[in-house]
Amino acid sequence: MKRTGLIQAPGRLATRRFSRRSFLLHCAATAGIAGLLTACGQAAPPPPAPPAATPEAARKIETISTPAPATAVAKPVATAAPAAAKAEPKGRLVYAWHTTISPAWLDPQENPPQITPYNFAYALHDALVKHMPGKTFAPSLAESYEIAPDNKSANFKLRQGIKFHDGQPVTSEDVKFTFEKYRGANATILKEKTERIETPDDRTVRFLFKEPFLDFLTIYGSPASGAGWIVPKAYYEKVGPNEFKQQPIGAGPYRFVRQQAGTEIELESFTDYWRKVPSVKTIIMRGVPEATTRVALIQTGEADVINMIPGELLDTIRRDPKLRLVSLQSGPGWLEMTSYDRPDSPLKDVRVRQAVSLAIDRKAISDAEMGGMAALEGNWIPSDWPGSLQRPTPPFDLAKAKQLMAEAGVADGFDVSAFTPLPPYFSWAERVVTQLRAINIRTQINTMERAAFYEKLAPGPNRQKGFIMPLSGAPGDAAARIRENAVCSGAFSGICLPEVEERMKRYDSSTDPQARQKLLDEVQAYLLDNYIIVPIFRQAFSHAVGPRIANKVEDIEGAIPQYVYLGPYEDVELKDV
Amino acid sequence: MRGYVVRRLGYSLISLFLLSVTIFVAVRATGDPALLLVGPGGRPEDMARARVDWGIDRSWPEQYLSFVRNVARGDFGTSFQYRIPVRDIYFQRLPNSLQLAAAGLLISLLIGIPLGILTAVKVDTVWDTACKIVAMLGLSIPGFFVGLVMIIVFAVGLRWLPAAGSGTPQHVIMPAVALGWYFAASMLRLTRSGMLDVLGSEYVKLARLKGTPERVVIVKHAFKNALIPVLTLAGVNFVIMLNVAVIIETIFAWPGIGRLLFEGISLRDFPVVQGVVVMAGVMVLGVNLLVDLLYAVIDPRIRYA
Amino acid sequence: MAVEAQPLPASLAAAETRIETPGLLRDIPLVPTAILLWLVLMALLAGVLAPYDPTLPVAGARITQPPVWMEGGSTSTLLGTDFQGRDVLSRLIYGARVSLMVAATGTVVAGGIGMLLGILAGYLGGWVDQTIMRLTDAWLALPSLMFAIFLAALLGPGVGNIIIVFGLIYWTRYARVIRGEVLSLRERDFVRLAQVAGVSKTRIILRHIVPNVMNTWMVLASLTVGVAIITEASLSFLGLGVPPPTPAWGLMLAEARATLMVGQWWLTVVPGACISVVVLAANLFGDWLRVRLDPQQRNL
Repeated sequence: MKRTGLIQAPGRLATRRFSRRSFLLHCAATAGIAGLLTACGQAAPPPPAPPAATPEAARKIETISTPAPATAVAKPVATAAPAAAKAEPKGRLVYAWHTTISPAWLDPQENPPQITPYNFAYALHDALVKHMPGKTFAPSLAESYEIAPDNKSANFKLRQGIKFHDGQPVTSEDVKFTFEKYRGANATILKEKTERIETPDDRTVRFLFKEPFLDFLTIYGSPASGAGWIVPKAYYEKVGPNEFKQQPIGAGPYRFVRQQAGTEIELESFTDYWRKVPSVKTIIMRGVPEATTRVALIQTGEADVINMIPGELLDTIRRDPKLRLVSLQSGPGWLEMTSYDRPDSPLKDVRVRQAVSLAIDRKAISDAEMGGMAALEGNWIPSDWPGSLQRPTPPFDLAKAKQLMAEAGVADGFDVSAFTPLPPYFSWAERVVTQLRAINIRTQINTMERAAFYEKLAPGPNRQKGFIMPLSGAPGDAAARIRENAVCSGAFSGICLPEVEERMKRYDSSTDPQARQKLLDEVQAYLLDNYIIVPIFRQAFSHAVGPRIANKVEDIEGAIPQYVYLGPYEDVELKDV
Repeated sequence: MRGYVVRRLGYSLISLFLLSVTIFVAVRATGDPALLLVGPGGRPEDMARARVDWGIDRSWPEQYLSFVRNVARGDFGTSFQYRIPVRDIYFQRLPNSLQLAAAGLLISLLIGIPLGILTAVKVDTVWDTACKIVAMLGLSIPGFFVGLVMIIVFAVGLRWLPAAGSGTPQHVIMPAVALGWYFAASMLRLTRSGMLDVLGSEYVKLARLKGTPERVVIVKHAFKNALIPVLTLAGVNFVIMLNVAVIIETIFAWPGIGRLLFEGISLRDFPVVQGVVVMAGVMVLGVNLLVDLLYAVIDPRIRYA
Repeated sequence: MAVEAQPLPASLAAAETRIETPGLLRDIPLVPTAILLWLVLMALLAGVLAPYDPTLPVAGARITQPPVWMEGGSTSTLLGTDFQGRDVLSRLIYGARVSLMVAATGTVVAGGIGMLLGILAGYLGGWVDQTIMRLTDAWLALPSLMFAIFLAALLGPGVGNIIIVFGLIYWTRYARVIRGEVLSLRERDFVRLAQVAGVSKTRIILRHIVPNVMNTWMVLASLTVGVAIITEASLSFLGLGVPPPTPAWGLMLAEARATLMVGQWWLTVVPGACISVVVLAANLFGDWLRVRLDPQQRNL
């Protein structure tokens, strides 16, 4: 009995019979409370109506843009897809998402160094340049662009007639505003290197850099930053950042309709989208944190696409003939042995570290956790990232591991204070811990909240000790990943080695692409060959696609490089709608 | 009487104050939200600026005073994660929780009251124990287990009900059962107690002597009077169900305030956590206060307890 | 408004005199008690009873191997293995120890705090009473699961932390009830006599008050144990409870919940059934105890 106030043992309620009046009083009280609470709920202002979009009655036929005159340019220019005659968008798609949907993700101005917000960027917004199926750095809002041969400037030409969801045209002023106000990942490096932005006319944007900026396109045109995802200047300034996240306006294929903060977002096809009219009228993205429930939803048809299916349930999806399972290579997980530089630690000996790597049966973990679909790469930087050193799967050789341990004089093993994986990948960690027992390394899993984990990764005396198993799906290139994980000042780095520092300094000041690549290769080789970073495998981010989706699965899942969600949204089609 | 009311109100306010201070301090003890506000990889300057922007660089007493002043105006601050006033998101989610709690309450009454009457009427028989066990199973089987099994049986297996989400009456059935069964036991116990008391009373004995049929005795006389404490408990349980449904909300993707709190804690969203907890406290204290006042009206002796 | 005082119902009046000096073990409910004893035995003898180490995969067995009576099962793992290849039976047995330890210790800690505060409040009265009661009210203003989640998130996962959380949440139910008992005990003759005789407060409390509230305390404790086990399961479900790979029933249930869907039902049903059975037994036992120790409560 929760309300102990009603029971005062050993005495008891002395009252026996209540008159009808008191009975009614009680009822009234209970009803009144409920009514009060409901009234409070209803007094909350209803979400404001979405800004009315002016539908274009006649559909414009898009012109195929002609390639710009060739200049000494490294990147080719793509053409826009010819649009078919407009078909009326129909139907409704439900995408069950694996976390709460944060409104912050609807604003590309604050995109963190994670791939998650780009799902919403690809739906609601558009960029000057973005990755598209089979093509990196495809011109989107820009019909053409060129990077000067000396890498000190970049020119973009916007398409004709591109609009935001509220009907306003996308102009160079918006591009400039977006860049200057951007405060998300890599904002510092973008702004530090940019001298100024010129907007000679509504459709032309010119970036001028202080010095040769070789990485500009890599950062600006990929999910490494959100600075290229254009937001409307007038609207953004008028409503401010917080309000913008409640009612975002972009230039992407889908228009924002409404959201229930955290749980659901409703989007509607934007019929004026330059590339094509999205054929699915309504897309609902729903946050369903419980994996079992997500799988149930796609089995009953309440969801059409779901994310992140745990290892135990992959077979359920496989066995269902109506469902299609896709697995996309996502962020790699790796092992860091933090005491490798302590003179009194057995891990100082490279043979011991190598033994650790040899003792991990990566295939067994992949089979168990990800249905065998994980890519067992030999680098903690994904193999398809620019600049990544390609390495084969690290070998599993328990006998050799034991031999190395014996040679190093620690055949009896030793204790490690803790094994801290990125939450919630505890079951992977458990498998690794079990495997390490075979060479007598004993440790315990250390669990914590995600927020605490990231704090513990920051360099400094408070950094987490023992073994750490981070996992990063943050987009970027090899250099960015090294800067994050392997340099003295890296945001999540515990590594501070002169061999790496010196090379990265030279990398930053070099302008020769080949020399730069050589330096990157050397850094990666050094870290991997000395087992300072031990790659485990790449997470297989799984999706299940339901029967109502008409597309071939490979066209809308995994088609876009460096992107692990559904997309491009404008290409998705439903059957029998 | 007036003295009692004033005193009782004063107690509630003191409790509310203590609660708010506790939550305020505890929430800040979970750590620094600046890293989460700025995102992993944020630089110290960004974090420092974020702290200033969100007002968490001030001293704790200063922040508390500011908090109290704002709450007096109905402002619980802006959520770090959702970027909208906590009040808005709370009241956006509250109707969902109210709906779930009301349905859960209905389930607990539907199970608890009939079984309670049955056990009282057939006291000390096999029926008594059997009914008690049914109600107690609600206390014994973890709610999330019940919920998951139901999804698999009724949604995926039989396709009778939708698996998750909210919107239609069918959506609320399974979460309501998973939530409400737990509270059926206390309903049963109280109904039983009230019924047994009344059934043994002089008044009912007289009715029986007069030859009133047993069923009329039970329904007309015993039940009505036994109902009052049950309704009071219902009010209290309703408020509790509102606030503890976090696991049910997670499983069924039900957008309520329980999940709001849980995520607020994980993301160190101070304003949300403070807001939800203080509101929960207000609700519970409010209900208890009302109940105590009503009972004091009924029974003057309680005023001097 | 006037309320007529009711004479004590005849059935109750009879009940009071019926039970005089109960032998404590008379009428003890067999099944619940047996279940609880079995639990305690399992917990104490875990090292002897469990065939394997609960945190290591069983050599030679598959992952999610079914129990012995199903196809694919083997006698080496009677209840099958879980997703990491660990023996379910061993985890169940060791899990009994962890779950019981967490629940029992938490209950005792809460009971200790609650009894102390309840006695102080009831016996000393005055501002001590008021302060403690306000504190209790403030604490009770938060529904316990909500409070548990909050504290568990604050303290972090870990068996010790969960015990602290339970201690901090459940003391209020003891404090309230025991205070009420002490209030009435205070007026009883033997206490009055002791006070008049000049016996120190501490002695009175220790010799007269405490033994007389122990009955209520035990009832409350047996009822709280069940709640604690369920709360541990709920916290583990949310990732705030016992950390992996420690075996605990709630954690086993939480870790295996996805497998419910794919037919490996034993991974959830076995720990789930254990939790349900033990909590049910504890509740039934507590109910019986309440009636046995205080006949006036038999109608509750």
